[in-house]
Amino acid sequence: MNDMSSSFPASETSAPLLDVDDLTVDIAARDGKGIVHAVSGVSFELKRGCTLGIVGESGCGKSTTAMAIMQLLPGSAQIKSGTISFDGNDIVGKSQTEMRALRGKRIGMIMQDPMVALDPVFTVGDQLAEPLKLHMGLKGQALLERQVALLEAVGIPSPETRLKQYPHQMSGGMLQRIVGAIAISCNPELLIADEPTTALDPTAQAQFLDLLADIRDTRGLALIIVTHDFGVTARLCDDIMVMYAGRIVERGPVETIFKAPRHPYTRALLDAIPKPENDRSKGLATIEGQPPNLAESISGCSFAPRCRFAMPRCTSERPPVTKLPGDHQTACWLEVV
Amino acid sequence: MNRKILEVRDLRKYFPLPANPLRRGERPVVRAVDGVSFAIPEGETLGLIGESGCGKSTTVKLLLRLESPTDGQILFDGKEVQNSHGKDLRTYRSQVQAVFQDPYSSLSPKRTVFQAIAEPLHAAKRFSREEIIRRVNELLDIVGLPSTAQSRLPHEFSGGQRQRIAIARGLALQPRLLILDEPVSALDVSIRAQILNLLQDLQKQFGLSYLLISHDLDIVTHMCQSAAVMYLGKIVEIGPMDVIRSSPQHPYTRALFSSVLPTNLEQEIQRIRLHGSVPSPINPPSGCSFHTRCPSAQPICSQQLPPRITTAHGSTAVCHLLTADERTLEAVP
Amino acid sequence: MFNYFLRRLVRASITLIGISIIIFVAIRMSGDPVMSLAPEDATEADIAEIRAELGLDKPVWVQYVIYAKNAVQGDFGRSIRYQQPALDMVAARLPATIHVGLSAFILATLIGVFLGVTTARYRGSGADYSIRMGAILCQSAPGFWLGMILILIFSVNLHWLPASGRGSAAHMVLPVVTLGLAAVASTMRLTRSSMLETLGSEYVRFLRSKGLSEDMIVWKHALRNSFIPVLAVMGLQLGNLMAGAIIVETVFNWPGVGKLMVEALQARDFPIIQAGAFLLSIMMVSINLLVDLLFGIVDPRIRYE
Repeated sequence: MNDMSSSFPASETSAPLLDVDDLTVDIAARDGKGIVHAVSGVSFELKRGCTLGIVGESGCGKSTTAMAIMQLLPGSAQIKSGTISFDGNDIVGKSQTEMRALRGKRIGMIMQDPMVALDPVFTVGDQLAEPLKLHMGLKGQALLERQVALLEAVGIPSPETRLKQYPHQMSGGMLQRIVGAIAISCNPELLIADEPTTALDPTAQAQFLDLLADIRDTRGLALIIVTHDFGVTARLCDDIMVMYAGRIVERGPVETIFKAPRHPYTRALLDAIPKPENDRSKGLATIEGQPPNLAESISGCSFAPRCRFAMPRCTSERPPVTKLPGDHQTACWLEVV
Repeated sequence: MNRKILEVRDLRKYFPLPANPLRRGERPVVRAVDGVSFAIPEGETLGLIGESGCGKSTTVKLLLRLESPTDGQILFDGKEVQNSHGKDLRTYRSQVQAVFQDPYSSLSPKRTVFQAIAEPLHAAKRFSREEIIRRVNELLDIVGLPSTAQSRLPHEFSGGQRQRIAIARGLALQPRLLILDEPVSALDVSIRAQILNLLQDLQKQFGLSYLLISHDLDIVTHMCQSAAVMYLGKIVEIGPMDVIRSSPQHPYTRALFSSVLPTNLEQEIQRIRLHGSVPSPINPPSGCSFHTRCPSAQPICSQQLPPRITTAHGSTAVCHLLTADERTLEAVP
Repeated sequence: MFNYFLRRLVRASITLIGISIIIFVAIRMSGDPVMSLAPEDATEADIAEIRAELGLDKPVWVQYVIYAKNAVQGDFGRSIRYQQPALDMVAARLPATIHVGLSAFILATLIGVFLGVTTARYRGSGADYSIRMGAILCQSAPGFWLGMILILIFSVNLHWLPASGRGSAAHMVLPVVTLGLAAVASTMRLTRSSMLETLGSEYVRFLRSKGLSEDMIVWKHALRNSFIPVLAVMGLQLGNLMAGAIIVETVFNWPGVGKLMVEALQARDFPIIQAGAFLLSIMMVSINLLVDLLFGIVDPRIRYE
């Protein structure tokens, strides 16, 4: 086992664990014509032990951003520019071999649909053992003990029996927990969860989020949760980053985003959620229109066509990022005096 | 009090499993729907809430007569329809239509929007060509799509627009009841609001009744006047939406609502944790089928089927731990 | 797992019964066997006598019962040409057929699967294209032509390998290569397309997120998942290679069952035809049963069904 971690020396804890700067990802369009600008100019930081929620609707670039961090983009995608720095080392230029030293060992991932995340022809135990053998060199009794401990940590009863079972013998909720166990098996510093609860039933969702919070608190993990559901972020996140059409439109601490969102898109998104205190006879607040086509380059603010506060400037010039008090920022002409 | 457009009484659907030649005894059955009763008042929406495997999809199939019930009755506007065929069945089907979850697979990719919406009108065989064209244009207008949409194919539209097409198709024969099976789960949040508003407008405009199936409790709370909660093929609680939301009586209902994620940060929700996972519908637990996971389970729960208790609030729950004078459960830690 | 095997066994037996009926009917339909057996100057009485002796005067279903009863005991009658028990004659040639068919199969599978996995993994590369071109050429070349070309090059011109007959290992090379080449191509193409589909699955992405090497993902995980459709075709292929070795056996004068069958067909030697058809059918059915068993081992979802 070649220990490549020496090329990624750990640095002091005050520097951010993850530093993404001006990331741009292009994806070749499926019909071969044109390029989709899936992610444009995304910059953010994540400190150790913090939880960031990346929120947006389908096509906004949130999953692409997350996959770029792990360099698991599909073959048709390319990081056109920008840097991604993990623990002080740039990973955009790294080879696949170098990335494999990070994946599973220092960065773990949880995917959306647990029913297809695991290989159906191997036992759960076998798949849990793989990263343990690879990154930590565990064998025999030590390996088994660690597997059992991991399954217990994610709340799976009778772990010894479960290790010998196959994925198709388990429910979605249980499989997602196993996926979680695999993701944290080698004590990573960063965990990326891509829509981790979307495919689960409500009670399983709640259980899984509790579990994530628990794992995060006991192990001091940094967590990135990609989701379209604000409720998930309320439960778990310190900061929220809202994306639209491949760009960040607003970022800030979770309380600020919920109580005092500044960007019109964030506000509209929060308004569109049905709440029990709503007057049922009135309709829900909606956002008219459709998200833009990312294959075309857009002048001005990408949300302008759907924004009820749009001004002429919004369609001609792209708004700059305005820093607001309390580590809060947004990209909107309304904020620029 | 509105009259009931749809009434279901003790509906059951059991699926027999292939018999094992080496083992004797009765063939095992999957009790997908195990004695379900509810009613939908005309012009209102009833929500059917439940998680995977609770039997809501099978119930939908039974109501659409895609499956025949093993037992029980389905009454539409007072008339029994669970056994009807021929002309009676066609009449029933023209009055009960459905909109499904996935807008990407519920429309045939090879047929234009016009063909998709016109299909039920063609099948009814009582409309002339001119009438069909006029009706399709009318329907597109009702759901908020431009008339030019009719010559295009589904893949040219977004998820939300396709769902509008599916709704237009569902309304083609002027049904009185629309079954909405997770109509917005596959759509983005901002589009969901558009579609839900559309559905509410249509209900007011045409006096439609809806059966809304969803696992998203916020949507159900917003759209429904009454709701029924299903677990392992049975209804465990049913009643007015406000009552179910504010004071759920059945432990499962309480657990479900406690799992709803807060939309504002002040909400402190006591999460009720359920242990274990859903048992198999082939061998449901004895007594109350929820007792294996219930945080308040008592010995009697595994021994006897629980009674139906109607509380003074107006909801009905099937649980041993309630009595008719509405003594509710202690707060669960 | 046992239940699964039992059900498959029952189905296999029913298949064999069906095959025996078809063989029986097919032979009866090819013309009156008595006429070809009787000498030119036979009288009516002679013909009737031969008919009775062969049991051909009895009703059809009685004939079938006798035939089936005999078949189960291994009695297919005597070869008309050689006057020896038909089954024994066929059985004597079986090892040679199995020899060449099985060898071709093993070769084709090993090379075909390896090439399929590699071309899928390095999809789009120059090697991928050239190997696939080669595969199409091999599949398109008719067996007898290929065999004769190989004989021309390697026996007649280079004198490296013998042109015909069975004996040393050298005798095996050309027949096996001729038979196997087309099989390599089809195995390779099937493996490749199955692998491409598997490599696009979600769980492969999750495996990559664990930091596993590409080799491990391809050879441990993807191959096993891709193998199921390949396995189904391989079962048929093995049967084809054995039963269809006829052309190769003829070109190379290889003493197998195929060659015997062709001669028997030309001479209307019914007992041999029946015995040969029956034996080859048993072989095919057994191979498919084995494949079914392997399915259960490779894919745990199937064994729990």
